[in-house]
Amino acid sequence: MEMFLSGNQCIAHGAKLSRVEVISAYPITPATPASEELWEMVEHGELDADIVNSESELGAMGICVGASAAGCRTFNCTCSQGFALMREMLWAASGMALPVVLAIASREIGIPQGLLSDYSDSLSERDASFLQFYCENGQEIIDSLIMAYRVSEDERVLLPSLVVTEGHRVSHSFDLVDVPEQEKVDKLLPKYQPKHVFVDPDYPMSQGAGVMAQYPSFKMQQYQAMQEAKQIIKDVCQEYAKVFGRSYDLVEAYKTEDAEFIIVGMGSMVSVLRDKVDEYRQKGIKIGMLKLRVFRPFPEEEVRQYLSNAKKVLVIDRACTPGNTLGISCLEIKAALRKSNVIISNYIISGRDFGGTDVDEMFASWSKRDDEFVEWFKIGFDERTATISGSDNWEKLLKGEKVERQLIKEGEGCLSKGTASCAGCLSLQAIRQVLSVFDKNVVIVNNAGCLSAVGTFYPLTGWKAPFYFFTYSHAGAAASGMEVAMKRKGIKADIVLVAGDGAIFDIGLQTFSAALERGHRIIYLCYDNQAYMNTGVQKSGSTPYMAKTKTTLGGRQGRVKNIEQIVAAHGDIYIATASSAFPEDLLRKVRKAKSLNKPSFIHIICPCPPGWEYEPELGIEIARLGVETGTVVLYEYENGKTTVNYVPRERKPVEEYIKKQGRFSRLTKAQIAQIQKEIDGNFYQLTGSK
Amino acid sequence: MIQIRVHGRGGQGAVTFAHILCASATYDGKYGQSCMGATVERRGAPVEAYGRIGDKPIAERGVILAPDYVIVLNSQLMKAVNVETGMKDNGKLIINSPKALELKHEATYLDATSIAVDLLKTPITNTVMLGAFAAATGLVSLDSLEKGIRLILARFSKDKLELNIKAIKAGYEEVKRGKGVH
Repeated sequence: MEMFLSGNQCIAHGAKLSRVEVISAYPITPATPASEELWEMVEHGELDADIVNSESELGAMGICVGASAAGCRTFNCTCSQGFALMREMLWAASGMALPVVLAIASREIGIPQGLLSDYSDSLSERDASFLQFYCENGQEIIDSLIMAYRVSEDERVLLPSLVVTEGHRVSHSFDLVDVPEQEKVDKLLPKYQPKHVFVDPDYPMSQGAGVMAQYPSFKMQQYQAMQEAKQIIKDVCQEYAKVFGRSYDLVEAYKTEDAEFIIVGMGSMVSVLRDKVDEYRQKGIKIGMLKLRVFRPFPEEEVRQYLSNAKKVLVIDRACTPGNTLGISCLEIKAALRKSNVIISNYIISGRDFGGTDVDEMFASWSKRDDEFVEWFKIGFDERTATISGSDNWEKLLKGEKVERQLIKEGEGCLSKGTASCAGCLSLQAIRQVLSVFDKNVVIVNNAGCLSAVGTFYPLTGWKAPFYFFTYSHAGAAASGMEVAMKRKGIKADIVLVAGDGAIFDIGLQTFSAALERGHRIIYLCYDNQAYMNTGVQKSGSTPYMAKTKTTLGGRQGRVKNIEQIVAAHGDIYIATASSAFPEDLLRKVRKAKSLNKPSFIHIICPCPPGWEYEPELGIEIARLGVETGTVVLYEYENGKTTVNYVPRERKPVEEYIKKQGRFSRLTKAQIAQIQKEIDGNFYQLTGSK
Repeated sequence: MIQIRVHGRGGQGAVTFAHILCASATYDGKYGQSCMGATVERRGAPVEAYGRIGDKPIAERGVILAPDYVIVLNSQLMKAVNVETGMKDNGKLIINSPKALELKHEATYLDATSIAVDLLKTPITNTVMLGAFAAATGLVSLDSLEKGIRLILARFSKDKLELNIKAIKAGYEEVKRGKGVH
């Protein structure tokens, strides 16, 4: 059936047609919409699968590995640093011979945090024993996902697969796609019935045992399975072509037979190259194109077969391996052609878009030159990179010139006006209020989240105080390291770690907990808008019961973490809750935290207009209702003693708070009563009053 | 291949404009491909979306630097963004503005905000502007636009969908009546 779908929707359709049984989901731009689409499919009964929201990508891959070890067909979609965080579990999947399939909507790996697609995420895992398929468009994503399961699950292979597409460039572009019929797919890809790894108490097996001298033998088997996979991929492609009429192979050679010039590419650039080959052929130029569709296993023989007779080969690479001059795919092409006399040149284009004019410029230069060159195409030194710290004075400083620094005073605020937050953003307001308490001697450490995209985006920065963005999962550890180093160097400044709820409750909990345990003097500030808002509203550990997000479509079910109790379990820590509607209470608490010589945790509930679905001007009113209904209790906790700061004279029913928010719009009376009951219980427990 | 760039603010439906337009073109027997740039979009921030329509499968993807047509969903945006950047010499603009503006290229103006507020009770103008685009360029038929919107907004409620189809027609007629064409 023809459908007009985005690349991400194609990822979801590919997984659905493959009848995946367990899916893990964790948001990361630009792969998130694929998980959201899968949630929609499950919610609407179009797909019979268990979909699990995880706390991080490491968790997401863990879920896939666990579910696959228990005998289910599993799936996840991710990219970039999320994929990097999965690393340990990737090697577990291939080591345990688990045919997990992952889709990658490729994106650059930070830092700096980029949004373009350059394959550095997937190609840097080329040694993890995953089969790697690179897709040109949405159609190929669907087809490749189905075939990937078939190949991965083949008993001669039993290795996991990556199906890679380009983030934004393909994941967010819509095309006409022929979605295969389920019945035909079912015949090609039968139900997954593993004979090697499963759970059966009547047939107990031990997995993941330690080895000593046998490891090389295991590695050799993996190596051989990867080599054998080549023929199996070819066979599956042929079978697929018979059923669906679309032919794929390890590579696609386009007009290479008599070609003097051949350009080698991967992914969506190949469509452009194919058109250009046609155009140049009409002008009488003997040119061809080789598409590398499968990168692991690397199609060495095919590369030799199609490229050996050319005069010149140009390899276009998106990713490089710093330390070797060649781009990653060129490196492998050269190795394959080591015995031939072909002149092989290499352009590295990284995450740049690629169009017809780029081919013209490349060809004009390359066709005239006789040397073997490696060059970055239209990418040069951007002198602004030197001023990325936000101080335009950096260059002056380097030259030894005198620079007047803009420093902040107490009450002034270290984040300037005009940042790119949504209208009515109360998280930003809370952060401004908190930071206004500090003078210039403050260092701000940040996990990924709304703030990291709002406070600074190259080449601009709104920060007047030192600001350090670390990754999502490890800011707690990085802040600890800073505290130790600053002490050692005698730098006297407060460290404030600013993190959203996803970073504190979920992905960053491990390093946050370890930092608390060690007792570094850090003020942890959680601006809690109760979901992953930066990626477009997905469920976090803090999302309240029955709140709708894009990954809890029918309303959040199950337990909600009590973060204060978790923090309190670490010993002597100053803990305080706060609300956007009570700024003086918040400021007092921050001042107190600043005065203490121990860790502090301040948890601010910040309504979010797009995420909670209300008009921007209603934010403070909703925040106030949160407190007046007892949903949010303002209190402090220190060494076993709870001090409640505000008890409403007459507590309002929670319905008043809920009905102003679109995310709760579908609640039944019984569900509201259930929420009321839980709030009553919690309120009584904390305040001792009803 | 015709290249279309849509300017709006986050939340105004620029991306959906491009998706509906390119999906609709496929009902006219053409090829369409729509996309958005790699940006951090927040509500209210300037947003660009891109559409490509052609007679054969479309190879190029990503940001459009030299558009044939530029759509501006909100003329207030033009204080912050030069919407004419990179436009082809014979390129045309379709702008949501009650009055004509000083520009280097030919432009069609209509007060889409008033029409949208009238019909949809909200100043989201993308569907009105889709109708205006069809009338001003003839690149896509009204019938196909109706099919395209039903496809892309399939998960909308029936009432909301029908109202938006009305909005497309209203935008189409507004331009066909020759109001504000320059």
